[in-house]
Amino acid sequence: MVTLLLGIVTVRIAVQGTYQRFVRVGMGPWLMIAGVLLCGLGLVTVARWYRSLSELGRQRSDGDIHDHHADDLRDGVHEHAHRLSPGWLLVVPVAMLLVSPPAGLNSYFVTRDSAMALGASSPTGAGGGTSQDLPTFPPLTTAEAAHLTLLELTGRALDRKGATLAGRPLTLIGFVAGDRVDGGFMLARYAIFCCAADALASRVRVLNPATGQAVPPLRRDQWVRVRGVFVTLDADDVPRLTATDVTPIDGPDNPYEQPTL
Amino acid sequence: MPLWIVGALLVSALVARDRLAGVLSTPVVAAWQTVFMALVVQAVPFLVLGVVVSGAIAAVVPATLLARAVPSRVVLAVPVAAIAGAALPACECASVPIARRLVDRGVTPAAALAFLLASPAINPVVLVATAVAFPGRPAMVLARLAAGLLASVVVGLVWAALDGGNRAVAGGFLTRRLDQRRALQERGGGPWTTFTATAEHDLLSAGGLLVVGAAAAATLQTVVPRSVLASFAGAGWGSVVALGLLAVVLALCSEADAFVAASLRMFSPTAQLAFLTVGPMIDLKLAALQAGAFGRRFVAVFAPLTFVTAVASAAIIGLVLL
Repeated sequence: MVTLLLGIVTVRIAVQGTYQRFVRVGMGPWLMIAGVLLCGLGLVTVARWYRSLSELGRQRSDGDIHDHHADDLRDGVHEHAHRLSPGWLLVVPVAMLLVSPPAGLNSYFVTRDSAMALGASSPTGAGGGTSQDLPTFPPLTTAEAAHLTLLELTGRALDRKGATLAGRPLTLIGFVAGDRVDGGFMLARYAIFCCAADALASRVRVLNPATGQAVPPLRRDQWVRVRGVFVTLDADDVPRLTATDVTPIDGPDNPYEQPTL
Repeated sequence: MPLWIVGALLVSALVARDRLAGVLSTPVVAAWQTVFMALVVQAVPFLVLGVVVSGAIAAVVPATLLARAVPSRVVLAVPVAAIAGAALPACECASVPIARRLVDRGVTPAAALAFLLASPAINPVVLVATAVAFPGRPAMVLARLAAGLLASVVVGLVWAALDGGNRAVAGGFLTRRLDQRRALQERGGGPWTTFTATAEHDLLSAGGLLVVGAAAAATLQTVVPRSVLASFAGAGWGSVVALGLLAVVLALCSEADAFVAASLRMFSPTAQLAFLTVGPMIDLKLAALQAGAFGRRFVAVFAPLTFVTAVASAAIIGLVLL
């Protein structure tokens, strides 16, 4: 029964695409296969259980209780009920997905000093990295500038003080991760390798040059599209951007960036 | 656990949906929930792979075949099983049910446990991921392979010694549990029945405890401050143990942990190697899976043994290679 339920929700998150909030995109087909197998296994088990229940009932009504076969059947049914004891815990994630699926990682780990290490560093070199093993980037194409990941922005900002970014109009998508800083806000997005438990956050300080406060009022965790120009890399290895345009948007289906391997 | 309790839980969750949704949307709970779900969802395909292989071994592989395929001398069987682990290109969630089934089919527990530890640490997928995460540093890949093999073999041999000397501590209770299971299975029908019954049994016993392990890992990830970790960064051998403990707490997939290790740049390469060696062998999620498959008393002995051996192996290999 639990197996069947787990199979159904696994297929459901694979079909709906909700799985992207938890694991990398490439896992979709594997979740689908696993879900279908779980459904099949669950159906077989449920069918077998009801068959032995009904057979046991028939044996009883025949007054044949001491039959050795009936004892076996009863043991089988008992054992099944007993066997479920750790397995029923799987109901917890199943119910969570049905009742209130989480929307993906929020800004909690960006701003909090948490063991998710990694909270505010970037795999491309922030966090006390030495400069000799930083990657160097080719010049930015116009198409790339229109869909730049925060991960790549950070990597390019660290590469020769952001030479490949200078003066280029950039478009970024991320969520609001912090209180206002100097009339702007902190933009962030996570990159994941395998699942959301290994997420690394990239951050960008977004400022508005013209008025210093023209960025619309934004609540924390609101997703936004930001157009702007790279200014400099701050002392804490966070790039600084002056925004020309900040638009609130709906969160993307895949909330995470995928590091290119 | 009768079905009606499961049903009642689901129904009450649906009835209290709005109130529950309110609690679940506070930032810290929502963050916890995402990490928890990520650990569970990520484990599902690997767990299914593991229980399907386990069920197939139970259903179609003759009981004596595997026992004969593994060398009879433990000193040979353990390294052979550890190297054979490289043939299973999957995360650690898949190897737990398979190792359990190997024991069930007559493979020496010490050898099956060496396979269990080695497989997620040294398979080709994991080694390639490690090479990608540490560009220009092939020594790290070699060190991971060496430390993984060393720790698996040592734990296997120590287990064999415990097993021979004091069965009550090591293998005794383990064997008894499995004997009961085998007796139940042999009473059943043909291969199909054995396959489905074994697969479902393994799934529920491992999966149920996976939920506990994922919840514990998500809780520690959410509440333990990063500054605790940073305070160990410069502490020599302390930092090696600290990253070993971090691997236990984070419960990452062995295909991803190299990227996280690479980002921990304030730590020495040997400490990073400890993170990579401990992670695939023992963490909160794995301890729970192992408790489901082998029993809680087993984990009480096996988990500390594995942790200490893995950290020591990483320290030795790190001294030699890094």
